[in-house]
Amino acid sequence: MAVREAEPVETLQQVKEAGLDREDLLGIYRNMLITRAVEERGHILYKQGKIPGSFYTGRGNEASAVGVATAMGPNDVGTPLQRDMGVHITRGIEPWRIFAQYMGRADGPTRGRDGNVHMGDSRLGLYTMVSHLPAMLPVGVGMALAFKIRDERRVAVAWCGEGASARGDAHEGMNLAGVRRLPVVFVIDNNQWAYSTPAHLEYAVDHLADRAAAYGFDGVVVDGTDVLAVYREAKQAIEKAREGGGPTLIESVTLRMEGHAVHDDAFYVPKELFEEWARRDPIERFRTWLRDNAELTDDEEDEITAGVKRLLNEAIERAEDSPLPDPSTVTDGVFAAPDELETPHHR
Amino acid sequence: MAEKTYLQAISDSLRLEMRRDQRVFVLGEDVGVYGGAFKVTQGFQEEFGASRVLDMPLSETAIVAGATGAALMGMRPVAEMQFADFVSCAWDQLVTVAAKQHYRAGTPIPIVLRLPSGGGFSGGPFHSQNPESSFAHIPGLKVVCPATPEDAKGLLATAVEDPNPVLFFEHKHLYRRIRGEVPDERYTTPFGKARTHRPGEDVTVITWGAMVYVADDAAAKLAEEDVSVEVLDLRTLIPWDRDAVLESVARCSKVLVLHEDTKTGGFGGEIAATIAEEAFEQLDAPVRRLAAPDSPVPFAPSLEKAFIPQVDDVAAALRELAAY
Amino acid sequence: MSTGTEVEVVMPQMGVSVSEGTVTRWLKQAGDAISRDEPLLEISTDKVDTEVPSPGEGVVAEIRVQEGETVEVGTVLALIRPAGGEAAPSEPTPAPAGEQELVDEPQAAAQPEAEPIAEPPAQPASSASEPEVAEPEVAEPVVAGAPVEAPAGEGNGRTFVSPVVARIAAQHGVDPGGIPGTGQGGRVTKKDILAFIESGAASAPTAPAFSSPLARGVLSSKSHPNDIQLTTVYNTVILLHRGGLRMYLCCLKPQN
Repeated sequence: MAVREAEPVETLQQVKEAGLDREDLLGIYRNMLITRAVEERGHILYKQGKIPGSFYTGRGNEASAVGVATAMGPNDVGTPLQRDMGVHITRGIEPWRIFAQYMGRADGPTRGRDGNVHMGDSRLGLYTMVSHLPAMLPVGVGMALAFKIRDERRVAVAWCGEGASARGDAHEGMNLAGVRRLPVVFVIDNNQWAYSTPAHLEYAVDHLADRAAAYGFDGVVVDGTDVLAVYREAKQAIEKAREGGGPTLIESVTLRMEGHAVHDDAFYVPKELFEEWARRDPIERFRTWLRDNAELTDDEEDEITAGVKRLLNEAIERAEDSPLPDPSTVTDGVFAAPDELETPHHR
Repeated sequence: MAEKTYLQAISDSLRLEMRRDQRVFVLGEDVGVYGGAFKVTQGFQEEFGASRVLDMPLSETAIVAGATGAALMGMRPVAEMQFADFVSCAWDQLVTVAAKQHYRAGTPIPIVLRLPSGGGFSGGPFHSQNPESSFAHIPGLKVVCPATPEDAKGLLATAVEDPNPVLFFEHKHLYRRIRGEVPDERYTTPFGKARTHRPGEDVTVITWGAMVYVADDAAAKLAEEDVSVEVLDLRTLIPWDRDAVLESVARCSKVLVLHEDTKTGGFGGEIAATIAEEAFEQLDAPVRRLAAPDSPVPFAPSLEKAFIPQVDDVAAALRELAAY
Repeated sequence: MSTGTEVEVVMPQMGVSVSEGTVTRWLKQAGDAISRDEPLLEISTDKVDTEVPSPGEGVVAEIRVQEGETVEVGTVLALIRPAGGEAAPSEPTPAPAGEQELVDEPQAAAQPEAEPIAEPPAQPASSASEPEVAEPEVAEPVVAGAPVEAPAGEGNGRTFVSPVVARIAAQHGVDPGGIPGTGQGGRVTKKDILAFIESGAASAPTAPAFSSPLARGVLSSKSHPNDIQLTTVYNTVILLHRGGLRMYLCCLKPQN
């Protein structure tokens, strides 16, 4: 049970061994572009006063989020966090609904009841995060508990930031997962900064993946800017869990390329660090890999880029047309009604 | 029909639920092999198996979050806190996740949390509390406090069916001391409906849990003094039966709100304020509250007696109200 | 999006606790062309300094806040006129139908809310001794046709006496029933009784003198000056009673 450092995926052949074909790769690339574009456009909308509250992005985390989500099976579930917009995009949440969410519109996933990335869609296996991090991590473990009780070949993926790993929820959730050998994969988004707090003030070990051994399972550290490496590790871990092999802790290392939120300019991050990691931009990195190893052409690139732009323009327009929530509905939905219980699992 | 203790009624109810619905499962500390600290789940692991009766690690967060996650996947978990007092460790999971998930995401969280609560046996500050009011204050949670074996059985069944997180406070003092006739078959008792424990005319006591019996004993004393005291058992706090309370107040015009939880910020304040707002013109005396004083639950018996409202305390308050 | 009308550029809220921002530098001047999302100005707030991208495409029509000025979040900083568009009064940022309803609701709510408060109590507290046969049919719920603002004495008077009024009444030996009430449904408020006492009216009986001891006794305890009608044929005394009315046809000999 040692901590491994994952190796990069170098050739198309290795990609095929990891279970992806060329179409899949272009799809991954597109999802990363959409993820970044959604956040860039949202950032602009925020500064135009069209988005209330605050605004968070996961710039620099696109490969980590999209890579893991691509490795999830259709019936798997997850509890992604605020740097994981790529998970929502990959699993199929439509961009217009994301903008509607940002703008607090009635057609957003939370119908205006929560903001920014606090959204999900249970039909897509995505469960809405909370601000108290990582409270959803042990909830993800609870999902895996249900799979185990029912003997289902489904996996839960539970995300956590390197800062949030300092909280008891992370410990208590992982401990339960290890004790019961549950089908859950833990992904720690280590972007090195928790607001203004650097990693060395959040944990004392070399790698957070080192902690996996303390819970009785394997840990691996992966370069979070390498989407294929992330994909391969995630796929391996998810399938292992599916086969009853228990949990894995994947520590995905990136740099948070913007402030904690849009109101934070991250003055505390050394400029050199930003420069260094900008050279490892996950999208640019994958684009280069595709050109070098998968013969990505100018035409294909242009088509993908134009398609993303069109998609987002339409999405923003549609979201802006979506109505604001009716104030008289403010207390609707505090309690669920009995007929809302979906019960597909009745043996 | 059979005579059962309050504890047996709860145990029966849970057993019937687990037989009825495969999705129902039990999780908590020492609930499996040991049968639960109070033996409510004794025999359950033998009958239902170790995958439906889970001995969990010492982690209220893992228990409540585990239940929440499983409920999101379609299960009907009935989680147990070994003592109600330990629910504070799972506060965040209840208040941040379970209470707010449906409102924001439309996904119901049908979990039941069983909480052995209350004092009266020198349990000390951490084994005797009635932490109902702080949860009653959080929109999205339901709070249930049965007083009788019959109600305990029916209310637990309703709790399991309810698509919302339900905090089910079982008063430990009643577990083996209170017996009653309980139907053998499964039945549900509705939330938000009070029960007249004792009808009366001159003063009404609005209460729940173990205090129902204290109020009843005090009412018996006052009957000998020609004062007719009504005892209304709320049975559930969220939702609570406003109509029954207002109706009782309209008839009696003098009301005492009684609870074992501490006074300041206790749920009695909510009831008293509602009565003042909505039944002002029916009142023939100020609305009175009687509750434990604002301190942690003390250990020594003499101190605990001064803490938990006693029959004589209630009787004195009733006499004052009657004389007003 | 706007078509032909000007687009407002507003001071954004850069973080939940931020309430204002300072314009530090305009990147464009009035009359300059500007594209959608192109940086238009720079601002400074307590938390962060940043640029504001233009929400519109066209020409900067007007700059309203100068460099160095600090304004509240939401303040209009500039207007952008779409290319080829006329100068027109600017539209507010999307105002949905919901906001209109919000304005109208308080008025709509006022009427229904009045009703529950004005309902007569379920049981009169001191009804035991009086024959009540006629009352249920005669009694009208106070709310029917009786707006909250109606002064007392319209026939639907209420005799609910609040604790503070009862205390004041007892202190001064005054009967609240004989006092004009301006409270909900005609009840006597604390102000009413204090004004009554201050006016010195407390000592003067309000009822005209009648020879009938029955009438006098009744009048002095329950009458209202405006409600006593004497005619040459019938001497009628209208008594106000909680939630209803009771009419007496009394043959009374007026004192003169």
